[in-house]
Amino acid sequence: MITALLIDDEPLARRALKEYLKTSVDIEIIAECNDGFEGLRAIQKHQPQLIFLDIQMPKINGFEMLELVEQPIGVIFTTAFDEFALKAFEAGAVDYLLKPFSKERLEKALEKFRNANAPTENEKVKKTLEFASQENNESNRIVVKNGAEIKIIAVSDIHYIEAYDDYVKIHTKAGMSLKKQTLQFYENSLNPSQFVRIHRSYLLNITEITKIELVEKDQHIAILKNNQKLPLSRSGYLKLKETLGV
Amino acid sequence: MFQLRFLISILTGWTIWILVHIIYLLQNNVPADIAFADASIFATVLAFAAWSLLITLKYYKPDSRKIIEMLGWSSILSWAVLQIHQVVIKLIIPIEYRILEQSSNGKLVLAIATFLVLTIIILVNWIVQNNTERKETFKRNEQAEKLKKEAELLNLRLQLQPHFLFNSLNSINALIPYNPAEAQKMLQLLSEFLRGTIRKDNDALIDFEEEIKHLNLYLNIEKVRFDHRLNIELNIDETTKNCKIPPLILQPLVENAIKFGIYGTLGAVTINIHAQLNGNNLKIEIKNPFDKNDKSAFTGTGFGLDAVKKRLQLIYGSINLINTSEQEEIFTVQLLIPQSK
Repeated sequence: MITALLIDDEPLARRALKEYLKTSVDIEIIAECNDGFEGLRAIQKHQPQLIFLDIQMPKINGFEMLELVEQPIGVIFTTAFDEFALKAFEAGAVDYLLKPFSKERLEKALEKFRNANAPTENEKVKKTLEFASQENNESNRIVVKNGAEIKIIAVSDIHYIEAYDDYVKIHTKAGMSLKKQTLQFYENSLNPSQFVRIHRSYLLNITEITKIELVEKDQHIAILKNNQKLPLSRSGYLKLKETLGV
Repeated sequence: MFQLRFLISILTGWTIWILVHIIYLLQNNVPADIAFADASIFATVLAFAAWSLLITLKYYKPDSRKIIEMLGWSSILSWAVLQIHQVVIKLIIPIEYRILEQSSNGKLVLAIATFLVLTIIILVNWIVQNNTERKETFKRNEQAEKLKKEAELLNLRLQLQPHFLFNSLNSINALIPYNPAEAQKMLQLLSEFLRGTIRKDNDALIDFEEEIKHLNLYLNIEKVRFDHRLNIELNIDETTKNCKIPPLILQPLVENAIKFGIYGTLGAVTINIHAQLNGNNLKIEIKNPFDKNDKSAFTGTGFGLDAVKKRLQLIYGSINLINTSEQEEIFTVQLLIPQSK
């Protein structure tokens, strides 16, 4: 038996999917969710093998929800239309279904899942997300999870991002949040005219800078609005100067 | 570049003209200094005639049917050039060297040459002018066509949000097996709505009543899609019924509000639409809830708003017809549509 979860904010969309799945005897729908938050809770609780995931949903979208899922899980995206969908899905998901889809098309997706019988690897999900955030110009927020709490951080609120082993620390006025991601990823996906890699370990929001100081020969530091000091590497200093246009 | 080439060829032609004239006079035993003076005077008078001709043609553009008239012009001008030349010659050149007065052949050759030069100037000028004009018209047409296409595309993009269209089709697909009557109803709503968005004349004003009717088609579809999550409060004052409004203004704004509300918050969402007559303006307010703690929700919602703003600006020539405000957890778009008395 394959345990499955439906995550879609439109009741009729879930209804259509349920109707189709009635005849797939090896699929058991263990829960239905209206949004990503419910989705995360249900995944935690039921540990499903497969999720059907819509992309445009309230508060956090399907990609952002998936980013917060820690265990490997099979994902079939169901979406009406997305400019970046095709590319993104090809990189990671078991399959993607464009609404409205036929029962035969759904059958094909399920067959793919049964054959691979492998959950979508985390590596692949990561790749999907990388594609998604590159293609999605509206990527103006980062979703993080602190224990049970899910936080949405507006990119403009970020002071700087710090590399921390396999994680990054996202520093904002409200404090620090951990996220399993590479600094390289954010350097590539955030607006380069606002976020500058000033050091191997730091990606800085340049609107937070008040001063750049020379501490000793060839060694500069950036002073932030909250008086915090960050070291600048030599190439970081040059990049920062270029971005600031000085 | 073109102008430089033009100038060089004119100067070359002019110099050759003078040289030929001098050689002709020298062959008729005229001393060099007098030949030079005579030829220069003639060439100068000719240049002056050509120049005045060009100036005139700049403002008066004869069309191709006036070819006879143009030939008449150059003959009159040629005659005038020869007359002026003779008057000047009589003043400064000794009688024995006035070759042209003695040779009717030379006079004829000179007259024909002058006539040809002037005619060529008219013809070249006419061809160049015609060409640039044609190019300009072509460019203008092309530009107008491009603008028109862009506007049409924008309109289509505005009305036909693919998300909306495909999700609606998906809802119909879901309804078919267990509630065929509802599915049929929704298909009809969607068809009627789409028909309304591809109307032919986008600039003609329509009755506000009609705009509301079209909006209601859209709202009824959205209500089926989002079920009880979406509440609509429609508050349309009776006096606004006959107000005029450009078509398809309201729906993109309401769609924005719904998207903003539905995807920006959790739980049930109430969209409030209020219209009343306010002096000489039809005042419409669209309110939706938003999460004031989630800054990220604000970006990416401006597309419909900007497009409608641009359209109203084009139609009414005023930039203050759309205003937005935030209060508590409510986002308001206020729209003023001027009414002629």
